Amino acid sequence: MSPPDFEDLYTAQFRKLVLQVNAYFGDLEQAQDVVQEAFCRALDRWKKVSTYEDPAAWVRRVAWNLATSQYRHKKVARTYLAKQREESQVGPGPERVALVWALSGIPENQRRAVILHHIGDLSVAEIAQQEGVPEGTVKSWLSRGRSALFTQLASRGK
Amino acid sequence: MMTIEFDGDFVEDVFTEYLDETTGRIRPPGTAAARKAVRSRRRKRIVMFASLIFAAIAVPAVAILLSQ
Repeated sequence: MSPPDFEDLYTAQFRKLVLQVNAYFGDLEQAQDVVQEAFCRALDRWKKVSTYEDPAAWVRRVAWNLATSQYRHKKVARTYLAKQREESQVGPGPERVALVWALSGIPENQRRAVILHHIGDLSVAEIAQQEGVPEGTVKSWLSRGRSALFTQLASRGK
Repeated sequence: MMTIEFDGDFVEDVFTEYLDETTGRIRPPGTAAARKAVRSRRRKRIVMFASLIFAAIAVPAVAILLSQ
């Protein structure tokens, strides 16, 4: 089997990954930067990455690791700023669609599972492999995540 | 007012709305930009490595010369 082409992988996966990462932290520009960075890292090691069984999974994992790390930094910065300015309000802006807003209100693990399953079209087993947890844990995250998402959306709809 | 129904269809609609709204706004920088970034990083790595090697040789050499 011939090794996959970087261009093909980029074309097939870039938008999919940006949709996932953007849903995770609600900043499209930053999501694009994170995914581009993941592809740059893949390109830098393409000789090795292209021999993997699923290079797309490698890129996805790197993108998610970067996204998680940036999200945590952003959260710390936001908490600090909120303490500095009482009026600083982290609410939904008009540009944010209902889903991104609702996802921002559910716990991180559940959010990742819901996004990977519903936007990334990953199976429970694939999510478990990416997150390094048992399948049962992913099922539980998905179930709780969906229910939390309902609650969030219901509260927005009122 | 938004109608909230506690069934799977509602969730699917919200996901569909998100995908429709966001997909069109994505502007991939492209593989050329990625290649350029990787080339620039490799150059920087080479320069940094060369500087380290130079420092590792030059600093002790200067120290030896000064001590004589």
